[in-house]
Parts: sequence; structure tokens; C-alpha cells
Amino acid sequence: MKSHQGWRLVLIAILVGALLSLPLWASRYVVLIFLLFGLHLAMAQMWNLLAGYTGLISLGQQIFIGLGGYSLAVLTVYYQLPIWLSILIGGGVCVLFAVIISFPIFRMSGVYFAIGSWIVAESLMIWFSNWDYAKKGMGFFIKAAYGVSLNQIYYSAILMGIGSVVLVFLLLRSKLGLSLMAMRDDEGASEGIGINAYRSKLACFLIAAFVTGITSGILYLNQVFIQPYNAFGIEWTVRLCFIVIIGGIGTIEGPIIGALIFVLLQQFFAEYASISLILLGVVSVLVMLAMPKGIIGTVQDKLAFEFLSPRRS
Amino acid sequence: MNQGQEKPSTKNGITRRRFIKTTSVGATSAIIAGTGLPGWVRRAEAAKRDHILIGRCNPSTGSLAGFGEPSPLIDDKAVAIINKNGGLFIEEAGKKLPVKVKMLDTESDSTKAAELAARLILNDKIDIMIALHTPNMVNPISATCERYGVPCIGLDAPIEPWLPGGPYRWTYHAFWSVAQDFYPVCIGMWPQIKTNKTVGLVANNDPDGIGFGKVFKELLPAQGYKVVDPGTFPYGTRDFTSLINMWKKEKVEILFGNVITSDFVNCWRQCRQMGFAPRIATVARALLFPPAVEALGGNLAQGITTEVWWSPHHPFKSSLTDQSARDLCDEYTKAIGKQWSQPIGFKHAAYEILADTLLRAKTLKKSHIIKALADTKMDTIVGPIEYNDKHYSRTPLVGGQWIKGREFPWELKLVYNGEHPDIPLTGEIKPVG
Repeated sequence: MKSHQGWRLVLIAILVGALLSLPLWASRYVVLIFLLFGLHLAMAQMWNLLAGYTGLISLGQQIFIGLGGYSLAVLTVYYQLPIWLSILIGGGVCVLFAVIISFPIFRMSGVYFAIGSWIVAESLMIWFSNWDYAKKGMGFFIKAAYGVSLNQIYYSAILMGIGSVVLVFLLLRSKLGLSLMAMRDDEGASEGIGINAYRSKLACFLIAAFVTGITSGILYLNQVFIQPYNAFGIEWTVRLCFIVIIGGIGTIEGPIIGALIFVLLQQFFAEYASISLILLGVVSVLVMLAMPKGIIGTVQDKLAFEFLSPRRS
Repeated sequence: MNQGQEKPSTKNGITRRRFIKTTSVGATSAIIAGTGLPGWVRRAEAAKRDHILIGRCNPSTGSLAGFGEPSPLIDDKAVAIINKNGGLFIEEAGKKLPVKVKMLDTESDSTKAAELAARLILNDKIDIMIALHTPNMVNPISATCERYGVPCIGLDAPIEPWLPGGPYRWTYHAFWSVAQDFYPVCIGMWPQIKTNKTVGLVANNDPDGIGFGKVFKELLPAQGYKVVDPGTFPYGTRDFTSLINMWKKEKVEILFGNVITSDFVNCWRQCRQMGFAPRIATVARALLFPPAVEALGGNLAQGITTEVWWSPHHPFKSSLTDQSARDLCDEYTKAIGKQWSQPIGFKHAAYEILADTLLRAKTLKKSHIIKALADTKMDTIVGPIEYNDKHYSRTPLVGGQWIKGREFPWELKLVYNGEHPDIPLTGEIKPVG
């Protein structure tokens, strides 16, 4: 067991070391790819926390992507607040909004929750596209972002990516994590043994909102231009679903592999104009047929080994 | 140290020393590994190539596909002409270098346009970017060029929605202004038909739609027009009943707006179903292309007016080929059997500006390229281009009307040229229907 632990640590150290030293030896393009990887990993890990461990299949994660991005835009453009403070406030705005919408949408469960969260996102899209203060559908140029270097954005993205993995790992090993897994297996029975399902779910929902909001702020530092149709678009959740399902839902490693595959495929398929979406669809169908539990889920089943196990040994 | 004597500092038996040891081993091996990686992964110096690389993010699919359709045909033809005698002279190479274009499909998605632009800049290391076709494409692409410091030639997106991204350093843009060009066309064209001067707005909730609505709401009342604004709507709206009822109630006789094709098709069909028939319908963006006009079905497009930024009748010539606008359109129709469309001229003009800039810059040094771009003063197939201190140049605009055609099912007649009498009229404006 000890030697396993050692190798595991060495491997993690190599990976983290490689990511941290990347701008020193890799091309700017590779830095961009891993920047996108970090951002997608953080957002997908949060979706995984909700869908894979809490049973909350949210189709509305773009709520927090839009709110995080718009907070950065509004605070830097209208009030000239510092970029990083604006991103942090964006995270706070997301938590606040998550608290507000939790009252109605937590009354729904399963597919109703999914639809409910989607409706909230669509409503926000319409709201923002009609809101004068948010420049309606005109969108914002987040010009303050020009002052931030690619490396700075990269390190913040990687920090969010690695941070999200550590966060979920620690969370699942905490009392809350045990409650979540008990709930996922049988919510009724878990409540019978004294677990407060509502509170546990809410905690995860708020954590996911905060992390997704902050990640989105960093995302829009890179994108510069934000518009309601893209910021609150369902395409974001489709991306996150793809990443988590391909990688392996309900596993910590799943979103890592999934995000890497997604970002690489997206870059590769960009060369194949007009059929890139079909190719992405074909890949996901094939992976789902061959590995119904996703890549990591299937590998774990075959090898009976979990690299980042939420179980305390 | 003996493993057995090690005192675990955590529940899992990971000591601080062990963590530091493994982390440093990892980081070192990663750095060493980096030196043995393939070229595309490694940190690259300035790209040494035997050609000039141009980046193009084109909306080949999606809602803006009508704009993207003439690519890559028009792009390839223009590039072939530039390369006919070996390309453009570049001092650092000491010879002429051919131009190559790398084109990627944005799927009409502005997020994807920004991502692809970054990829073209960082991976393909393009020398210049060409950003075309509506603010949804030009805004994110030019923002990405500003971020990474790459010269960008923008065209085919109205000035007003693009300007807030400035002051620009790397992007130079050319198209018409809503307030200075589109507005005078409407104000000049509408009085030719007798109406009650009540204008109903129909606009999507996007930079184009809002930009147009804002300008017209501000300026029209001073000319004695009454504006009825039922509010903007998102893409994909299917039910226009409330808007149409409002226009009917307010006795709107001029319908004016800026919408995407699919939304206008739905809106216009419902207008007819509900018996709303304005005397004038001037719709920007939706009916620029013949397939969009045919999509309305039947005779529904008869008499709809739209902005014409370029046509075979424009009296301009290509600085690359000396071809007239008519020749370029005929060449396109001959090549693929399709009717001409307005973006053809602007796609071609982008390569004219590119060639002219590099002929003067004679280098691929980016700071020199933008200096040469700033000094641009030339005649292109879409008209004269000379950028001002805000980095834009206005191109001429006239008014057109769709009527049933002979050669093609629908033809765009030029019916108003008040601001540019050098562009000949080809028809007389008639009421809708």
C-alpha cells in the first residue's frame, strides 16, 4: 500500500510540476491548450460534483458562467475595479444568485431539477439581452483584460483546475462527502440515518456556483468579448456533460481525462470545418458504447484501482 | 532515513519531506522532459517560413453561413493572383514569398471565433488576420488580435458595434456606419413612397440589432417620423403576434429593422397571415442573400428593401486584377453557378488591402505592418479605403429592392443612391407586395 502511495505522489508531483513549469519550456499554443484545459477541468469538476456525487443533474451551469463573465465585464468597464477583485466578486455574485434560485429549484428533483436549472439560465439570457445596464445583446469588450498576460491567465486557469480537483477530493473525504455518497446510493435511507440531504446538496450547489463563477471570470479574461447568447448558452453545459461523461461520471479523475480529450479534440477538429460537431458527437457515442462508465470508470472497473479515491484508506 | 522510523505527519502517511522530495523530482523531470519534446510543443522562436500566412475565421456553417458561402472560392482566387508572380517581396527573406491562407469554421459562434483566432495566432503563427462578416465575428476576432498583438484587417461589420472595442492598436476596419451611411439611405429612400411616416422597429437582441435600433430611435423623430418600438427579441423567436399587433394598432406603414434571416422569415410570414402589410419594409442583414429571399416563399419578398454595400453595378475596380465588380460577380457565377452576393466584394477587398499593405511594408514585422496599414490610401473593388485615427474607413452604401427576376428567381435592384450618385440606379422603388 505504501509503495502505491509513493508512486501516486511521484506521478502527481510530475504532472503538477509539468503544468507549473509549462510556460518555461512549451510553446504559447501549448500554454493556451492547457489554459483551456484548466478552465474546462474546473467547470467540469464542479458539474461532476453535482451530477456525479449529489445527483443534481444541472443543465444550467451556464448561469454561473454568464454571471461570472458579466460581473468581470461590468465591474471593470463601469467601475474600473481591479480585475482579480472583480473576478472574486463574480464568484460571490454567483453564490448569492445560487442561494436565491435554490429555493425554487431545490423543490424539484431529477429531471425536473435539470429542466428547472435550464429555464433559469435561459431566462437570464433573455434578461441580460434586454437589460440596458448590461448593454443588452451588444455585449462588452473587457478591455482591462488586455493588460493581463497569457501566462498570468494560464496560471490562474491551472490554479482553478488543480484547485477544483483538490477541493472535490478533500470534500468527498469529509463528512459532507460521506453524506453525499450515502445520498447518491439511497436518498431515503440516508435521511433515515440523520443526513440532511437538503443542506448537503445546497452546500455542493453553492461551492459549484462559486468555483464556476470564478473560472468563468478567468475564461472571459482570455475571451475579452462577452455577449449574453454565448455566455448563457446551453453549449457550455453540453461541453461539461461531454467532458464528464467521456471521462467518467462520479470519478474525480474523469473530468481530468475528459477535459484533456475535449480540448485536444476541439483543436484537432477545428481543421475539419462544418463536420467538427458531427465528429465530436460520433466520438461521444463511440465512447459511451464501448465504455458506458466513461474512460476512467471503465478502467477502474477493469483494474479494480482508483487513482484518486474518495474513500479513506 | 528508515521508512519505518518516519513519523507520519498526516493520516495518510505523507510527510512534508517526502512531499517536497517527490514534488522536486517531478518538476525536474518535467523540465528535462520538455527539452526532448517535439517541435510544436516546444517554445518556438519567430516562425521561419517560406510563405506569408494569413488567418481567416469564416462562418462557413451556422446562422451566418450566407456570409461565409463564397469562401474559400473568392479567397483562393485572390490569393492565386497575389502569388502569380511569386508573391510579395519580404526584406527579411530577401525574396518574394507566396501568401497562404489558413481558414477555420467558426460555426457562426462568437466564442468559437475567439478560440479559433487564438489558435491561428499561437499555433499557426499567422502574420496577419482577416476578420469578416458581422460584429458577431469581427468583434471577438479583433479583440483576440488586440490581446496577442497581431495585425488584423477587418471588413463587413457596421462601425458602431465594433467601435466600443477601441482604441484599437492592431485592427483596422472598413465598412459603413449606421448613423452616417445607413440612416441617410433610409431617410432618402422612404419619402419616395407616400406613407404616414410611422416606423415599426423589428430587431434582434444582438450588437447589430440594438446598434441599428438605437441610432434610428434617436434620429428619426427629428425628421418627423414616429417610431414604434415593441422591443428587441432573441434569436429563434417563433411568435411575433404581440409585435405585429402593436404595429397594426399604431398603424405602422414602414417596417424597419435588423434581424437574422430565420427570424425575419417567421416574422414576415406571420405579418402576412395577420394581415399586416406595411408599404415599405427595409430590413438589414436578413435579406442580403438570394437563398434567404427565396426562403420567404411565394412572392413574399417582392418589394422588400435592404442595404446594398456592394453589387455588380458598383463602379469600382480591383487593384489586384483590374476586374470590375461585374466581372468578379460573373466569374463567381460561372465557377459555381450561384447568384452573386454582397460579401464577395468585401472578401476580395480584404486581399487587396493585404497585398497593398505588405507591398508597402515589405516586412512581416508586426509593428511595421500596422504602420503600413495606418497609411493605407487605395481604391478597392468596394470603394476607396483610407483609415482615420479611430482605425476605420467608411465604405459607400446605397438602397436596394428585391423584385422577381429574369436570370435568377430574385434580383436586387439599386433604387436609391443619394449619397453616392456614382453608383448607378437599376430600378425605381415600389411599395411592398
